[in-house]
Amino acid sequence: MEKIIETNNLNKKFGGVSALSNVNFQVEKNEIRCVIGPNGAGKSTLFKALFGLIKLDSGTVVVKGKEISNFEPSARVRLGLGMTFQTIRAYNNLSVRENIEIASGFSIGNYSDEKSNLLKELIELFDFSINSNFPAKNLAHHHLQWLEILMIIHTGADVLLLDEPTAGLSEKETGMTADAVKSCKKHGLTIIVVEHDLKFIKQIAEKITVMHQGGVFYEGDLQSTLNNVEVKNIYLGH
Amino acid sequence: MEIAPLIISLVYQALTAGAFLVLCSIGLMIVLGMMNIINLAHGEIMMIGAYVASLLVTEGLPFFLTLPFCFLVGVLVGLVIEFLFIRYLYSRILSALVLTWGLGLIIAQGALLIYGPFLPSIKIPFGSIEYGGFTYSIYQLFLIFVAALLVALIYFILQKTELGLKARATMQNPEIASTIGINKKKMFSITFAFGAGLAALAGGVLAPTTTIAPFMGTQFVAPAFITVVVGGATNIITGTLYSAGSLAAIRTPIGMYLGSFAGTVGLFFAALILIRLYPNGLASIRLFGRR
Amino acid sequence: MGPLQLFLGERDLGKQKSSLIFFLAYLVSLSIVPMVMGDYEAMNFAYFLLNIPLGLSVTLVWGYCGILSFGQIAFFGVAGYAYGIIAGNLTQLPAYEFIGIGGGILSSMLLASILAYFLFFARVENWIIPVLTLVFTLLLETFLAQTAGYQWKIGNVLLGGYNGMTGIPSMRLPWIDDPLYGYSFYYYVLTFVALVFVALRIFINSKYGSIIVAIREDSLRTEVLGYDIRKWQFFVFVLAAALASVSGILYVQWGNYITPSQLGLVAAAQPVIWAAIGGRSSLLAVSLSTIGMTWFSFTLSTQGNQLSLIFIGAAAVASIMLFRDGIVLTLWNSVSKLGKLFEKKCDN
Repeated sequence: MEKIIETNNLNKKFGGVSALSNVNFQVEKNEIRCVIGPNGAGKSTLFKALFGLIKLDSGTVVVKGKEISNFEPSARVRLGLGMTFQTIRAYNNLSVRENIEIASGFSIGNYSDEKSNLLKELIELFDFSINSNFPAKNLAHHHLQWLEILMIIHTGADVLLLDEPTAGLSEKETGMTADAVKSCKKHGLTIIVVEHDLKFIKQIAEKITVMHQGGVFYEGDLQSTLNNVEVKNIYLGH
Repeated sequence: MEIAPLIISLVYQALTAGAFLVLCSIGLMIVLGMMNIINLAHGEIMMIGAYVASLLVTEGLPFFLTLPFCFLVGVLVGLVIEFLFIRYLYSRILSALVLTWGLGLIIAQGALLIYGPFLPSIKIPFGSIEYGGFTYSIYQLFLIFVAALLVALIYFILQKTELGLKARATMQNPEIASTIGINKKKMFSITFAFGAGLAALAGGVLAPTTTIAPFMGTQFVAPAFITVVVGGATNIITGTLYSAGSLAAIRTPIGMYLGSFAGTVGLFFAALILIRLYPNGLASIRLFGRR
Repeated sequence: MGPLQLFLGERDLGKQKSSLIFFLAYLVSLSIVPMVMGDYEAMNFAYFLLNIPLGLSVTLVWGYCGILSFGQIAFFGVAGYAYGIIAGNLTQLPAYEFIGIGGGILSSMLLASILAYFLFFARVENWIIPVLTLVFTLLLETFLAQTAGYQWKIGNVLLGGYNGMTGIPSMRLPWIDDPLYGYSFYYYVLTFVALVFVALRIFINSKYGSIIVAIREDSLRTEVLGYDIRKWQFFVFVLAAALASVSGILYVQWGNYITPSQLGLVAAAQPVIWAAIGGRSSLLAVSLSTIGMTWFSFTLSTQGNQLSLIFIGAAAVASIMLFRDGIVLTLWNSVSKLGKLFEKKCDN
């Protein structure tokens, strides 16, 4: 299958600490990939590197066959990448409707059928109004998480990078986010998720990438990852 | 023309330019590095220092004895400003800029209303010496010494004292610093006051070189800001030194051939180019690897 | 959205249809005001009005986009000098004043583009912009101050050094020989400024305004939604320079002179303070505070009062500390809250 994201030997040091160490990371089109690992493993740094939000010491990033190492973040987004942040970043003081408008580039309605169907499904699933004129900060926490996801889909992104999308969500809400991820896959999107919540991962995982100390430690499907002794050890520490 | 005296003259000019930049900007740099705030009343606090020096000299105090008073008055002014205003604006940096600008206007205009358009100037101490066809002002050599002394003093405080350790911790990570018992508010107050004190001291020390008038701060403000912008907020000592050093190196030849103003303009363009290359300031370059 | 809807819009005071009455009343009163004044007072009032685009330029760049520029006055001054040079040299051409206006605005925009390129494409931290733009205007002031002497002549026009440029041509309408003065000048300024205000307001309420506000609210999020914020900030900065340049040109057409102190520290502080006092997130509020503050300074200085700078500095301090949203904006919001309470009571 076509590789939609491919990194080659990404390296980044902050001071003396290796945040990324020879990271070779590949994701295929229409995959659901989970990236897990202890704190400080480099998961968020990897996301930032993919978007050009940090300057790499060495290595290249290839998205949809294009080498984008010199692309500005906004140019990478226009290729079809979308990211939600660990600390939810929506426009808190602007209305929900404005949030969606800005995300969509004011071209709501100019979507392919596929995308419109996906959005319809998600809005029904999430059950809140995206036309609300109330400021986004009035939304409940889980609605804010979902708003951010809806925003990046509205940009036209077909590769979603979600950084801890279930942080602070109840079990039921986590389940709904999992359904949303599956819906996205059904409609052709590629989803990469950084997560700690094992229940969530179990609901959506196909392939898992385990990161540790800046490097890719292990990759495998759900079962083999959970059974792997060394993976368990890095969580328990030495 | 012999080479050795020419080189000495160039070195002297570069050091003088660098010392001037260090004196103008060190107070600003400390506050910026600690609190991320630029005090736009900086020029006016330097003016206060110069005024204190002039007023005390008129009262009969020898010039060099006025300098500690300049520093102290600056510290007081800094404490008052921090206590009344700055402490409410830690998260509103742009508003703090506008506020300090307003304060600067009040201070300058106030000085005009209270003391009139000029204060008596202070005669430059020491005189000059000649070497190899060039004239050197001994007072400028003194200024170079003072600038170096200040940098060394701050380095010493930061690296070798407990206060300095706390200060560096707060600069690196204010939130964590407060959880280990460092009083962030107190640290910020001390820093702001100290920065103001240094500014007033610089004003006092530079007073003999210029006219003493309410808006005299303006001549220091442009070079100070340029130095601080190029140095960046990441490291006070290296930021100041690299920035003053490179800017002085650029300014000296330009100033020599085209005059002092052209030198300052050259600084500005150099700053624009340097920040394009190093947006986080020169201090963020790690020439010697990890610090 | 039609132009009317856009004018009322979301991003400024006076969103309801009923506000249209207010705007019309405001415009009408501004039109009538000169009739109760003489020629001379009308000229003075024109001076208050012509500063509005300068105040709005700070509002656009700081209030709506989050970029604090202390150097807008530089574009005011450059445009004034440019108009003086262009119009002063082309007096044989028909409608040379219009060429001067165009040239003045373009000069400022060109200068702004160069500065904006270095500032925004370097992605510098927020605090660097006010500092460097302030340095920029101070350097320009110093440069202009030392242009005394006959070698500083562009065509027929002397830059004039510290004493500035004099004899700058007034404005004339193409079909009338007499220069605009008094009432005629007042209505010229009123029309120009009103058009600028309406156009700017429609712009800020459009989707472009939303993007600009998004950059202010969270520039990282905006970048990661696909907007190249460097280009947007560049564009806003140059547009703001054009606004400031309109004020500069009207100023020299008003007074026929300009001096380097018009680009100095005190002058540079004014528009920022008008925006801080009025309420920087509202075009209308800043228009009102600009008229108020310029009237105040003017009155004080004509009475020989030296305290005006102190009052202005104090007003800025008070505004930042006590009226975070600006005095005019806070008052407006209080009044409209009272109005809503009153409505509720009447409904019951």
